[in-house]
Amino acid sequence: MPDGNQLSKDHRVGKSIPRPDAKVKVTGALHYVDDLPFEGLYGATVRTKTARGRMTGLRFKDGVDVGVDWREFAVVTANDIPRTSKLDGIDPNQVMLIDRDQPFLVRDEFRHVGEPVCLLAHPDPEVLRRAVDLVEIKTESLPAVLDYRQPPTDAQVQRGEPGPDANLFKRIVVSKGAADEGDDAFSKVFEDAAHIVSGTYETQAQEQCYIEPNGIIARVEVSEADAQGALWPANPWKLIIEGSMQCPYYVHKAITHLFQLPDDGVQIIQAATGGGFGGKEDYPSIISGHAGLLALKTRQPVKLIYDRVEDMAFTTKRHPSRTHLRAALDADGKLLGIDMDVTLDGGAYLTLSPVVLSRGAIHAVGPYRVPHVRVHNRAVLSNTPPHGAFRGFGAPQTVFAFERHLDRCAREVGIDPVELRRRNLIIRGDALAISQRIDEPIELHKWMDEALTAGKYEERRAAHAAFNEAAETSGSPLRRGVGVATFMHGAGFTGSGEDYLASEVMIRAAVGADGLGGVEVCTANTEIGQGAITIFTQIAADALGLPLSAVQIAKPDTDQVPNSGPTVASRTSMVVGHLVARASDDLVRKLESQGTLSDGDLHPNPDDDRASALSDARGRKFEPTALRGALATAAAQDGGALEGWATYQRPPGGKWNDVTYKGIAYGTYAWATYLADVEVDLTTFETRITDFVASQEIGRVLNPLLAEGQIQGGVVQAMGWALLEDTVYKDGRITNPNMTNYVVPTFADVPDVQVLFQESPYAYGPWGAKGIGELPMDGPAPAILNAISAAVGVEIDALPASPERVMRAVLAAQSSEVSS
Amino acid sequence: MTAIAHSAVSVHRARTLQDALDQLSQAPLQLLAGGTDIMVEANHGGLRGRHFLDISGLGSELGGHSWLPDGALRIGALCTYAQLQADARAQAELPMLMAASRLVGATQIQSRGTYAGNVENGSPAADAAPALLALDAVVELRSLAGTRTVPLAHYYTGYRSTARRSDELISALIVPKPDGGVSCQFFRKVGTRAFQAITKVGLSARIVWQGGQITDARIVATSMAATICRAHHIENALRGLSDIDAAAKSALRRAQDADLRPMDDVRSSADYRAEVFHRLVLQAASETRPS
Ligand SMILES: Cc1cc2nc3c(=O)[nH]c(=O)nc-3n(C[C@H](O)[C@H](O)[C@H](O)COP(=O)(O)OP(=O)(O)OC[C@H]3O[C@@H](n4cnc5c(N)ncnc54)[C@H](O)[C@@H]3O)c2cc1C
Repeated sequence: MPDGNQLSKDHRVGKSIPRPDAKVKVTGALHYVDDLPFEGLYGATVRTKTARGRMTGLRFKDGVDVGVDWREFAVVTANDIPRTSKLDGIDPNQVMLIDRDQPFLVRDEFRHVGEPVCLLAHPDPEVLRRAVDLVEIKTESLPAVLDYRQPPTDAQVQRGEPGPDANLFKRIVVSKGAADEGDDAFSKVFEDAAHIVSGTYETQAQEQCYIEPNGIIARVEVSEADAQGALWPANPWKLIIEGSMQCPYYVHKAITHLFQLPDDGVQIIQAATGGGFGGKEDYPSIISGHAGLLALKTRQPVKLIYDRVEDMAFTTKRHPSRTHLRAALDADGKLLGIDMDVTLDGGAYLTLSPVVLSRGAIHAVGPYRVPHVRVHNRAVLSNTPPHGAFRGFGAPQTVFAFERHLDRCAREVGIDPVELRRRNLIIRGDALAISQRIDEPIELHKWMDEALTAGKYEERRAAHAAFNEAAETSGSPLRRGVGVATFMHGAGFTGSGEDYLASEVMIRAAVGADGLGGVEVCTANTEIGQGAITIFTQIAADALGLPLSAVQIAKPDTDQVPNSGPTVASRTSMVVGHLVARASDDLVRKLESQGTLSDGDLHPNPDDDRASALSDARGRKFEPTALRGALATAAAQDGGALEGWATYQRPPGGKWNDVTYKGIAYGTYAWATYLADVEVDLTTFETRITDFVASQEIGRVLNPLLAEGQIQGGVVQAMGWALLEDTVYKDGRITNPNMTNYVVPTFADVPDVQVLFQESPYAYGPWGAKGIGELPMDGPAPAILNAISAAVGVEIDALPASPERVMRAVLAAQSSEVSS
Repeated sequence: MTAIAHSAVSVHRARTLQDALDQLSQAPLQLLAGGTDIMVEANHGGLRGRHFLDISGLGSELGGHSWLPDGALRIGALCTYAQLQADARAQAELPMLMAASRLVGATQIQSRGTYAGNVENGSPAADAAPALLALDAVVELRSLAGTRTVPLAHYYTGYRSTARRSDELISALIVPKPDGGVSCQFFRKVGTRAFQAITKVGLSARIVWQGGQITDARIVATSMAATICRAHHIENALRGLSDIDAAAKSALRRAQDADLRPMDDVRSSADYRAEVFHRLVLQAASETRPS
């Protein structure tokens, strides 16, 4: 591993090197899954139309008048899938994730609108689409849960027994101080407090809105003997899946189970992917299963692409949430106790809800020193399509509630919201609510002040007070406000998650386009627009002292690359990038130990940075031509190219305890203060964000342009969540699954987002880098709603802060003023 | 494949206006101008089995705009938002129509979409049509039988239905020179976002103040009913007002309730529409008042 995290002017890390994948994307030369050369059949999905029921039969209505001849179609239903796997005896018709409660195809009971029931394949996509409407699903209806906030009636219970745990997916309790001693001790904290402040906060489902909708192509390779005949081949066969996805090995796990195939019977290839944001974390497993079933049935390639409406209506979204919060403070505004009750709407199946809940729970109390804490978290079932992964993964929900609540506390105590934060932020050596002591050299107060200075917080507050007073007198409808949120985000899997993943990265000696030696970096981590290819190239180039052009990044293909874990959780640059650097180191050691590279190849002047950035644990640097020559030799050696490997190792220090929910939840956190400035028009109750500052400490900026892009993109996505985006459900069916009525921001809706970075290197990230992908999703919504609340003088506690919602809050406050 | 026959969409291209009128007289074809309303329906197979008459090539006969001797503006059927916005006189004399034009979709839509298409499409959430209605615009219709005009105020006969016969096309929209100068014009669209937005509630108004009181008013509501429409009770309640005091406000609100019963839908709610429309009327009354 490069030591000291020092960068010289010759490093590529720390610079905005151009993206290797930029040209093909900008020119349109790159093929996304729907653009790939394809000959085969098209697939489509027939789905349930009601929220809950039992399927009693299918009817294929006559379609002659619309050109549908059922004899031309391949049809797959759950009856085509055996009930027990010949591999492990369990039902293959279950999506392997944390639980196995979700079927690939409905057998009997169904739990949400749009649940896949039947798959169709046909050579003509237009005819196929018409056929979908001709399949009638006969059902008996069952009582559905349409509001996750209400306790279910007995007839609505679909998981667990009636009672407090009815329909519960997961419960997590974070507890600290007096809360560990019991209810009495915890109550006493509140009894003795100078202020008790209560509030309830709600957030809505959010659609990821990646530009490219989901899509998969499946192909089968069967032996000659199985070319015709039974659906399930008698001899070994192979299923190849190619498509838009974040996590090839998640798909691999789900597909081997469904098709009862050994690991090498399934090959998963990531096609160029037009965005994910969590929306292509687990759902591609389902589409792959469907495309695979049709390919198996027809023994032909099958392409299954969702259009925008199908994608928006039936794939995962951010979990809606409701949080009750009670804070105990002393007379000076110091937090004494936090009592928080978080409920997430998991949707119809468990999917990833427990881990989304966990991240939310751990981030709930933020970077604050609170002696006594209880955070009670539940994920519950409702009869909507399952909610799933979305950038931030539970943290945006709890951070929203907590940061909103701090402003309410500040008003109650009578101090400035920023001052309240200042009095409660942790310093080095303090513990978070999960009892993780922060020993890295943090300076949250200083970093917050830098953000406030950049955002002219004090000047704005004074100016806005004067402006609003003048507006009140003159009758002008405009009101201005500034709001802040201070928060953190832990990168990588939570708790022991990275230990279980045990990610592996391989770097192989290779010959580059210029005919000289270089390397190929093999990981399962996907480029989904975020810049993974660029970052890995920079890291490997610097770790080895090679030119950028000598580094190739392998296409994620489970036949070719090791399992370096999913592309989620802000882990790619930090966790996998670190492994890329270590695997580079391993490769050089092997070159040395097999004698391809020797002491004679050491650079004569190792202090010259240009010699090679590589400085392994022994501080050795090689002469570049010699290194490239050695790599070329190692690439061509007998028995295959030489490989360097690295496997994840937990950084030294404490552990995480999944039972007590205490310990080291994340190796490190990125820390941030965001500031929003808004103007609200009381004629229309519309909010305009007039300025935004996003300031964060992220260890090391690996690529300034990409990092700024990540932050700005995340902030804008969060602005949409804060003000515009809402999913409207009627009887469990989304009524706005299109870009006309699901309103995401355009450039005209957002201001310039000013981005500031502080760097306090993390010892276990490449050159000190921490993960930043999700961080920018956490802070904007509370900062913006804090600003709106300051502007209109009424607390706005639910998202989105649409004009309709702001109007109701303002009018309600006015009428209660009149009546009191 | 079998598919073709069942998904057939036919598009006939008109070579001349005469050709277009001939074709319309023979079969009920749907006119295609900029296509910005029609193509949206193509997304989900909505054009299947439909027959179009493409008039987009008739620019020399139906395009452009002109100022008539009496100061009226004649907007040709193919005149786009971008074309009219480039006219300095339109900017100077018809600020409310220009404000509406600037807020239709965004640049691409404004380069292609036509005023006539917006009027004929008949959406209750349209932006240009209500401004035209508040300006007392007249629709000029052509057929083999000749030319007739229908005031826009009488053009809509129900949700997305108009007074146009199937053998007619809109040849032009005529906007008389507005009374009261530019200061009496008011346009405000409250959309779902800044651009590329569908109007949740909108007001197009002309409020004429003379000698300290309102002498005439046109109040046109968008997204408040099944069609864009004039709010006659509000217009009457405004006439004669010299001061928008508390009594006037509640009279205007009562008048509004007599005119308009907005609905909840996927984009907004009845309570929001009603409250904000009322506030827009008050804003219009105060902004048009000479200082
Ligand atoms: C992304 C997007 C954003 C949009 N934003 C807005 C917006 O903000 N505000 C808004 O008001 N509209 C908006 N629209 C709708 C549309 O752009 C406008 O209504 C436009 O003015 C339609 O004009 P066109 O020439 O494209 O009509 P077309 O689509 O060609 O036709 C529309 C209708 O009018 C008929 N028609 C056209 N010309 C004639 C004629 N000469 N005689 C008789 N009938 C005729 C057609 O048969 C059809 O029924 C938007 C559309 C899109 C796709």
